[in-house]
Amino acid sequence: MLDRKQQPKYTEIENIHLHEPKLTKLSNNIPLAIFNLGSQDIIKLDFIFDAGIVRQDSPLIATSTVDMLQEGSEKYTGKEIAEGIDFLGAHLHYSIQKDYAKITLYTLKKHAAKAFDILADTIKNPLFPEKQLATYIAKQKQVFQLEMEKVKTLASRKFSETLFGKDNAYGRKSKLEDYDKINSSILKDFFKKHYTANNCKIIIAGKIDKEITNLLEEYFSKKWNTYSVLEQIPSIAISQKEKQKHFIAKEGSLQSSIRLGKILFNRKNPNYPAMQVVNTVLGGYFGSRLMRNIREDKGYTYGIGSAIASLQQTGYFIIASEVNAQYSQETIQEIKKEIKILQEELIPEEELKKVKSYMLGQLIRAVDGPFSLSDTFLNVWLQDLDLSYYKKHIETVKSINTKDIRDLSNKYLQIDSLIEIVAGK
Amino acid sequence: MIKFDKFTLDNGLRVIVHKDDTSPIVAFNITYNVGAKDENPKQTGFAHLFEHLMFGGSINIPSFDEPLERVGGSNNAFTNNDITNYYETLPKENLETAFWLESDRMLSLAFTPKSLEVQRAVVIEEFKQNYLNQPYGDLSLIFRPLAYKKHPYQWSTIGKEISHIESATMEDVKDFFFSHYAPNNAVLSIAGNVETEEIKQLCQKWFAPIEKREIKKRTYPKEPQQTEYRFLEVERDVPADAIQMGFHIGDRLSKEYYASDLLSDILSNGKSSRLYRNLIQEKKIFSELDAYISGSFDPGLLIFNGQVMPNKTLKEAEKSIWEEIENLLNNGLKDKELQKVKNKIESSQIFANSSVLNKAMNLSIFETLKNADIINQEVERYEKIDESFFMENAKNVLRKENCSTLYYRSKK
Repeated sequence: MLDRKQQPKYTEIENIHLHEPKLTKLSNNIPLAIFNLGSQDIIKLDFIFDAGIVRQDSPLIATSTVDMLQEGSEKYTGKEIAEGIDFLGAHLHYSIQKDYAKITLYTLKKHAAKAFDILADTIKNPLFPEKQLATYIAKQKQVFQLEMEKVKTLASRKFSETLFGKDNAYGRKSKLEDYDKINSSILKDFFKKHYTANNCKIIIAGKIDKEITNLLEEYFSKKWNTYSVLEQIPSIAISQKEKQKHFIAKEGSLQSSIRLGKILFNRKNPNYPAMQVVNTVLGGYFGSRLMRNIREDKGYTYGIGSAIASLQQTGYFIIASEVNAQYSQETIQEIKKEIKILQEELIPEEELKKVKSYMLGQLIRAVDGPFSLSDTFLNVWLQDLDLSYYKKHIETVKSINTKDIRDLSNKYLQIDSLIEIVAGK
Repeated sequence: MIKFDKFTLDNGLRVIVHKDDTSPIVAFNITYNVGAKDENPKQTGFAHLFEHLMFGGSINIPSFDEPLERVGGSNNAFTNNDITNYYETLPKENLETAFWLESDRMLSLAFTPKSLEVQRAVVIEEFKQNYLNQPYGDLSLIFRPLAYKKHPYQWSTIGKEISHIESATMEDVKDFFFSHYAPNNAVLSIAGNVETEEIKQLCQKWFAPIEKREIKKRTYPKEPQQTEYRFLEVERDVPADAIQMGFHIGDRLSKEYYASDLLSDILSNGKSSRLYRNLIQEKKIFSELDAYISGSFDPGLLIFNGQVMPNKTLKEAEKSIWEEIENLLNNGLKDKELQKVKNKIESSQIFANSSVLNKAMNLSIFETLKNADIINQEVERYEKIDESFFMENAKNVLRKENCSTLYYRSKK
């Protein structure tokens, strides 16, 4: 007789295969990580430059510089870059983070030469044409104004500002007027200083053979020797002396956006893997304490979660949700209640076991296939670590016990140390 | 070429198996042939509410997510106007858990009052978060009944209004389940390092004992051809004017559909597209402008959606779109323009094939639509569209009488 009440036999996740990259350098000394695997003839190529938000003297410079790279270069107009990439069925993405700028190319292997040619010109010889810059700025202003109508954006910005402080690159908010201060010459200076061959790292993943590595040499090493010494980034002086609770009113909001959190530490701290487990229990997956209470039990929200983030200089802990505006205070109370429970009671063994399996399952997904693997590797490589970090992660996840969860919750999640931001009603 | 095996159980469940030995993860996907179009017009938002209820516990298993998390699995689901789709990814050693979970909730849900109460509240929050509390959030809700007068596509998956969700009863919920959720109304698709024989055995064990059910017949009306231009104007508290224009196109498997998809790509896919270059970059009439097709099974829409720059009017914005349309229809395609969008389609397919989840989902959805092998015919169907058919379809679709326009005015 089929017993539908009983879960079928299953195995604990024993081994997770971490496919190591080949670590090498181009002839001009650019560090290169190669992941040669996968079933399809496709390539993902990431360029990472030390040109993140932390490097800018005023708002929007770092973002505008990376965005404008594709708007015109020595060999190709913006139109030709777009046409050329689109015709190959390729994709180019330019993005900015607090600590770095990233340019990603996706292409079929058969079109690599042409795609690399276009990409190379945007990275080495962008022109920052005035006309395209004006259009870009106008568009960004529109987008900014739209974003400012969203409670989520208002809460996020205030959170960063309160967490890191108003006057440093991590916490400083952009304003509408800042857009009008951007011009070609400022961006050119920023580019010259930061987008040099010696401030760059490359990750390539997919079907990577000699033909491809030769192309990398051809386009990104030969005659590319720009050099610039970047100063040590001043320590972000983080102070939480100021007011820790903020409310931003937004007329007519049906929902309020809530952010709670604090400065924590980054991946280099030995407690990081263990805190990831604590975080997962609290709010890191669908079955978390926060989801079960605030969504599944109370129905206050469509989603609530927590995370820990790792930056070059530090890290932080954050709880985020958009909730029914009538229940913002109740939500905050329930969040604090859940943290307190973790601090006072041991979680059931079954629950910890489940979280461990979930986290190991997530890691399997995060290293499955060349593209996921290269993203996962990027996270650690930029902090001067490598995939062996994940061995430590796996060990910690497997060995952590319920007492550790309680101790770490007490040590690092003191409720009085959390800043509170509500935007809405 | 995506190779797969297909078989059907006695109870009507269609099963597709695709072997991919490059991943330690297996993707398990079930598509039920029920969507928002199957709802009673006075009880909309139901199929989607139902999707939520499917996670509230089934007859033998009180929690869906927990046992899955226990085995390192992950899951999600989505509903649209045509289908409801559920999927899990898990380490291949623990595949049987997915069989156990999905077969039990196909057998029957737990139907607890608490589950209905909570998911009702959650869905209402989702409605607010995505449709009411966001600038432009209700645009799609307003637009649909403008373009569709008879067909159930006139309402959105989230529902026409919150009150429909608020008044759903347990009786309604049970009735909906038993008239739409059944093995004979579903397709199961599995992709990963698996063998068809082992899948057959697992299906026999877990799904074969579930009996066929009588599925509510689809009797909704076809949308009659639109014969004149439609226009609606609303005012909202948003920072900029927006415009949406929709044109009727062919059904999902018609030759016209593929030509319309290429048309939307030529208009707005990527930075070399016509709308981006001409109306955003050059003329600076829009800060955002997109053209896309709805992708629905029954005849859908080709939609233009854009946000107007502050110094331009909605009338100018609409006029500029018609001018772009005229330019295309009168002057035809530029050299290599059609080949470019075909290349993009081919490339998308190849990238999609690198994911077991994408493959499982596409096989399942195509089988629900008509048959799974369409996954291998798609690129060819796009390739076959030549310039003359492309233009013929464009001329037929982009007519004023076939157009519904919404001006979404900023109160500022």
